[in-house]
Amino acid sequence: MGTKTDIHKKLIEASKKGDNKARRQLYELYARAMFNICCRMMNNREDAEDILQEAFVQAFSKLESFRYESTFGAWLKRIVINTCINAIQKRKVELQLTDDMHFYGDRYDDTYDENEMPLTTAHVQQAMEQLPEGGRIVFSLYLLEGYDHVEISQILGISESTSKSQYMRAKRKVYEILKEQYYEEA
Amino acid sequence: MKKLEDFVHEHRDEFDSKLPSPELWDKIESTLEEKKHTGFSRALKISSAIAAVLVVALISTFLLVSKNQQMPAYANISDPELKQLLETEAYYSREVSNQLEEINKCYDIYPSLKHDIESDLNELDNMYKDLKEDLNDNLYNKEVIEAMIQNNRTKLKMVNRVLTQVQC
Repeated sequence: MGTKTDIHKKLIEASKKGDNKARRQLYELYARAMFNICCRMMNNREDAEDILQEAFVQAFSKLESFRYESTFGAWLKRIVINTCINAIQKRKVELQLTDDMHFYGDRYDDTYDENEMPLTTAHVQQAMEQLPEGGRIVFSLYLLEGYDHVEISQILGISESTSKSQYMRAKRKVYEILKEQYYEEA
Repeated sequence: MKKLEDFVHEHRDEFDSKLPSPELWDKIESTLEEKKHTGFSRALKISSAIAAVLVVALISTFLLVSKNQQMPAYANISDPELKQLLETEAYYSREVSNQLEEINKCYDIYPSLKHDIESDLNELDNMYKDLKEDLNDNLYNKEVIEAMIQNNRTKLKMVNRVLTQVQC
């Protein structure tokens, strides 16, 4: 991967020297996006704030090691996601990430009619919150954070096919919940 | 007909609507400040320790040279095996305190780490204290020294394992 010039290089360099104003500006540029990742990963606002704090402290503490090999945003995002995963694993809740091959075989329609069921962001978010932990994480990493299944398999230490099947399963569940929600409201 | 993926991509920005509490930055800033302080006080502690060691070394040399005092009991031991054991014990004991310094640095970044390993470390420390008392009662018993070495090796292993897992 080639070195990308980072648009916030000045801020990053000043932050490396311990400039608090620059750090604050960097925080303000990225806090919102990172906080929303934390909320999706942790499924709980309070935990999300703790993680965001821990991740930023960590990022500023090891900023020296950031060498513009990726964008600052991508570097920070990995720290945030790893901090989330560590916290989830510490909760001692086992992430249920198993490979369910039969979901590939199951043919189901993964399209919807916009006129029949008009979606809203809030509905999709609510449906995601109801997913089991493992599925929610894979679903968020793939669809919202833009990682591919190879990257997700590395982040979570699972196989690529597990990541794929977890995504399919989660997506199917989201559809089910959305349909239920829609017909309840209708 | 549309796919869920298309909907999410079209409305991606709306999924980032939540905002963290405004006071979160202050918390981050004060944690970073604290870290800077601990770093400074640690440097101060190390320099004071070095100064103290130098003073002790100077005084001991002075005493040795001027009064031609006897060497300490430790150095007088003629049994080479016992001497080696004591040296090994001293080595591990030094290594453990070095690694504990390292792990102390991580507590600021991972506050929960302290809680997680402290109980195990405390238990090992208490065992070590008991062994040291045994050693005083039963002067230079090989089994006791071996147990002390083992104790420090366990601590070292544990601390090293934690240090490789977390990067600070």
